Formats: sequence, structure tokens, C-alpha cells
Amino acid sequence: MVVPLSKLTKGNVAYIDSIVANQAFGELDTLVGRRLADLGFSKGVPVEVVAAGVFGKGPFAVRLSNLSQFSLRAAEASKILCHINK
Amino acid sequence: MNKDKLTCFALVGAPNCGKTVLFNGLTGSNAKVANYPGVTVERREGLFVDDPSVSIIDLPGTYSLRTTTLDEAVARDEILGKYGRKIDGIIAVADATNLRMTLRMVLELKMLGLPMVVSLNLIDVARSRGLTIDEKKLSELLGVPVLETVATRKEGIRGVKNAIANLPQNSAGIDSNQAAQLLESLDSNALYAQVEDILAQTVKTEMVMPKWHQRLDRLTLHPVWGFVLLLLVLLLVFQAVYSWSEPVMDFIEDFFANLGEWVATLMPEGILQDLILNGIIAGVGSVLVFVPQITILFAFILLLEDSGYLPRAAFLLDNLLSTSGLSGRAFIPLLSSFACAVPSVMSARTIQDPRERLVTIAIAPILTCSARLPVYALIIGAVIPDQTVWGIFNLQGLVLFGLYFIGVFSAGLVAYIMKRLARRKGSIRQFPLLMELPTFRLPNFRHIFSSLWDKVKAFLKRAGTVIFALSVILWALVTFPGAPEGAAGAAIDYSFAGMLGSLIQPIFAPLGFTWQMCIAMIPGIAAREVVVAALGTVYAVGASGSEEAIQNALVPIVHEQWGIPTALAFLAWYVYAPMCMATLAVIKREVNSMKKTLMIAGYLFVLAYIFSFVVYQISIRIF
Repeated sequence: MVVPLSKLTKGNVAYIDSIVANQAFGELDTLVGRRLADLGFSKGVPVEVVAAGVFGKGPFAVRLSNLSQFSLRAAEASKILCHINK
Repeated sequence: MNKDKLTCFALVGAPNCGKTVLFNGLTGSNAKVANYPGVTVERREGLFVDDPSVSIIDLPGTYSLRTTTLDEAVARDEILGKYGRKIDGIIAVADATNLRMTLRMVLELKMLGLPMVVSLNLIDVARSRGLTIDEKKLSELLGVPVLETVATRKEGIRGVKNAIANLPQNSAGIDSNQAAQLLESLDSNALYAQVEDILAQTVKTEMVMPKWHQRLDRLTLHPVWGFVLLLLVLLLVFQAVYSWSEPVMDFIEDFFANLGEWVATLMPEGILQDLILNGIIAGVGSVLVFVPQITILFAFILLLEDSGYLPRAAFLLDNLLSTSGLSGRAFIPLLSSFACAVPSVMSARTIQDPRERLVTIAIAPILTCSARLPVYALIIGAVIPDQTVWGIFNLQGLVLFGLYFIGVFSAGLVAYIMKRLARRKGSIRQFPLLMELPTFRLPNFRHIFSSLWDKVKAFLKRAGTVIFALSVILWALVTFPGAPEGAAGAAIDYSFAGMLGSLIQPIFAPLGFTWQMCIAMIPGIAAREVVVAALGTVYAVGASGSEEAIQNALVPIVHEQWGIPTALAFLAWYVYAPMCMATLAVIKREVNSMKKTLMIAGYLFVLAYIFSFVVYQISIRIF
């Protein structure tokens, strides 16, 4: 099953499938997408939500398999589609 | 030495990877700090200790040369030679605790074709978390020298120094257009595949996130417990800024008072003595008295930053700040504002989005800086009864808290209005919070001390020169022309300041301000804390004596002559009043635009006027 990162449950590991467009960023969208890729959000990388804001609405703190951790707002998190099962 | 003859090596690496510590080790103490032309991004440059024909530039931290922020763009432009200087080689600083991301950057840099060495920094932290790596093999696969370093230790720096000495000097340089195209066509996924391949051959045991680290992350990022912890941290910081600094501030005040007395005994009375006593010594003293607070505040900020906590605090506060159009990143500058707006405006440089940075700078002066406290203390002491409310609270304390609250609330409201205005004009964009949450680590105290000294020095220089110059000018305004023979009132009434005060008094009449208050506000332009002393002068309560004595003497005057409505309006005025030249001077420097500076000063003035008008008009109908 493929869901955006913003819908993952805290503490479960999922696998990044792809980075998709999000209209919220307008013309900046490609830039944000490229940035995510540069920082290591690439296909197949395991990702875990470590913390989320109140009511799970974001922002999200995520950890990649390489142990680097990032904070993302909901708009960024919804650009990242993940497989819940490998 | 001719600058063109120097060989130029650039230090490149992610933020917080120990680049600056390495830079200090490589350049010794001869580094120069300045700003890039046109932008307020810090530029640090120094001569290589082993070879003074090599200059080393410390670039702003960057994760990639495909930039998204001002700081990063500066780093890229410098490497591509757009600042008119050819870069001959790169010293890449790689964070060993985040090998994948950092090696991708190394591969990206390698594509530029410049001579390069890689310093694998923070290797001690990575090793203690289980990483073992074949450094030789890594060096072979990357095709450049790789050195494990702990930037704080001499041996590591020694190795990097040798490697730098062996780099070819005066390389061919790079074709900036070609390089820019190359970066544009970069495929991160392919680079990461290459990184995986390299790591598979070199990493013998993987690093693991220690259990305590995971637990600490769960706590610090928790929507409830994280907030509780953050509040405790903030409480500690505020407590430290206000009470730990007190003895030192008292000492500085006493020192300048004694110095004044000593000079007074040495010099004959006259205009020169007056200039030195009331112009120079008083002026310098009024700046130096804030140094303890600023030092303590920055020590805490640096400590929290170096240990990795601050981005987590920014994460927690993002929701709160996002409603006003800011992001968690604005938290640090706004926190500093409570001590003094000058370092706060300076620290807004860490905000990447230009609009968010401008908004943060614009609202920073509203937050209650410590220079307002003497004014608050005087007025509260004079008109607010010292009584207990609901059994546990003190009314005077509640009013003070209320004034802080009004400051915070107004700052948020102004930011929100600016967000709405920007949206109408269509220039709003969401500030992505894409931010690394770096690994927790023990702070490096040597680095903290040296950065702290840099910041304090910058404060002394930037604020000090302005306040110093202004206090001399204001001294002249207050002193000349002297009182005529047989004059009845205080000398200040007859001075230029007195004339100005009477001149502007009609403007402030609707707020209930007396002409004495208007005169006192003029020296208060340099620094708010001077207002109380100036009131003392105008009301001639005996100018000699400590600030406390002046305040005590003023309390009955304020109480009887002003009346409660006027006193409250004066209090309201100082919630917003942009009456601090040092802040405005720093804002002008940082936003690099006279128009924006005037707009910021203007809106603060309007807010101050409206607020005290409303307070005065309402309270004359009540009291």
C-alpha cells in the first residue's frame, strides 16, 4: 500500500516509493522535490516518523535509514509517497 | 601581499559539521570576519598557518551546491568564482555521523574537477556509536585524500595540514557556466547509488543510533513533554539572563560611577569635564552594562545550538509560529530579543527565507528588551499599588507580566497582518521547514568560547560605536546653550534638548505627556534606559547619585505631578516605541535598505502613538 509520509503512524518503518508534486508549493515545487532528493529521500530508503505535532498534523520529525533526521511540514511530507510494506 | 597571487582554498561542508573549528585550527588567529558585499552572510577568511601564500575561506554551511537559501547561494557562487576570485581547491568537511548525505556532497564537489581533500570530521562520535570504516579504501574509491579528524584535536588537524600542503597550487580553476550546467543536470538518485556502492566496500560496521539518543529524541520532540522541557529550558535561560547577570551589571554600574567620581576629582570643573563625565563615561557605561546579559544569553544559545537541541525547539514551536506566517527558525532571534534587539536582529541571519527574515527583524523590537525595564520599574513603582491579588500574585508583578505579554502578542499580530498583506499582494510562499535535526553531542567548549567572544565583540563594536557617538551628540544637545544668568529651572530646560522637547510637546499632548517627559525622551533615543536618568535631570531631583536613588526620588513626582493616566500612557508608549538608535542602525545594516528601515521605525512609532493615545483617553475617563 502506498501512502504519503504525512499519513504514516509514529514508530513504524516504511519505504520511500517516490516524490510527487504538491500544488501548495506552486512554482517552487520542483525545487522542494529536488532538495528532498539531495538530502537523501530516495526510492527504497527506509523512513520512520519519530515525532509529529499535536493531533499528528505535523510538522513531522523523520529518521532515514542512514540515521539522518529531518523535520518536515505537512506540505513537504505529503510529497513523499511511501510503501508501508516492503 | 598581492591578493591575486594567493592560492585560495575553500572549506565546504554541511552546517554544524565542525567546519569552523577546523577553520580556526588551519588559520590560527589571523582570520578576518566580514560580510559578503550586498548580503549579510558572514565571510571568514584567513591565511594558512603553514604557508602564508595560501588563503583559506570558510564558506557558509551547505548540503548541496544546488542551493535553496541565501547562505548556500553565497557558498556556491564563491566556489564558482562569481565573487571575482578563483578557487584553487576544496577542503571538504564530511560529517562522519551522517556519511551517506555527506558523501553525496563530496561526489557532487568532485564533479567540479578541483583538487580536493576530505576531512572526515566527528569521527570520534561516529566511532563511539559503532562505525568502523576503511579510510584508505574510501580515499582510493573517491580518488582524493581522506583524513579522519576530530577537529578539536591537534593530530587530526596536522593530517589535514599536510594534505593541504600537498595539493597543487594554482589550478586551472573552473568554468562557472559549465559547472552551473553540470550541477543543474545532477541526478541525486544516481549519486546516492554511487555512495551506497562506496559504503558497501568501506564500512566494516555500521553506526547505530544509541538507545539514549532515541529516547532523548522521543522526549525533546514530544508534543507535550517536549514543550514542558522547552519551557523549563527557557525558564532557566531567562532566570540566568536576569538574575545571574545582576551582580556583574551592578559591578559595571559601580565601576563607571566610581570612574566618574575619580575623573571629577582629577579634572577642573568645566565643559570638558562635563563631556567626559556625562557624555563619554555615561554613554560607554550605558552600553557596557548590557554586556553581561548578552553574554549569558548567547552562551546559552550557543550551548543549545552546539548540543543539537535548538532545531528541536524550532520543530516544537513551528505550529505556533506558522499561524503568524513564520517558522520555527524565527524562534532563536525572537528569544534573543528579550535581552536586546541588537543581537536579535543580527541572529536573524540564520533564517533563510528573505520575507520571513524581514518580518522577524521587523517584529523583534516589539518584544520587551531589558532596556525597557528601568522605565517599567519606575512607572509601575509610582502608580501601581503594591498589593496581593488572588492570594498569590503581586499586582505590580502582574502588570509587568502583562507588559511582556502585550509585547509577545503584538509581535505575533504584526507578523500575522504582514502575512495577510503579503498574501493579498501575492508574494507569500510557504516557508518549507525542511531542516536537519542533527545528532545530539557534547558541546565543544572551546568553539563556544570563541564564537561567544566574536558575538560580544560584534555587539560592542556595532552597538557601542552608535551609542557612543549618539551619547556625545545628545550630551551636546542637553548641555548647549547653557542656562542664562539667574535662571530658575534646570539647565536642560534652556538647552537644545529642552527646545526640541517643547517643540514636540504638542504632538504628544493628546497622550497626556508633559513637556518634561518630551525632553527626557530625546536622550532616550540613544537608549531607552537613559530615560529615567534624563527624567531625573529634567525634574532636577539631584543628578548625582545612583540610578536607584534617582528612581526613588522620581516616584512621588510621577505619582503626584503626572497622574495615573499620563503614567500609564508613558508605559504604553515604551511598549512599542522605536526609541533606540542602536537597533535601528543594526536593522539598517541587516536589511540593507533605508526605505525598509524607515518603514519599520514608522510602524513602531504609529503603534506606540495609537496605543498610548487609547490608554490615555480611556484612563482619564476612569481615574
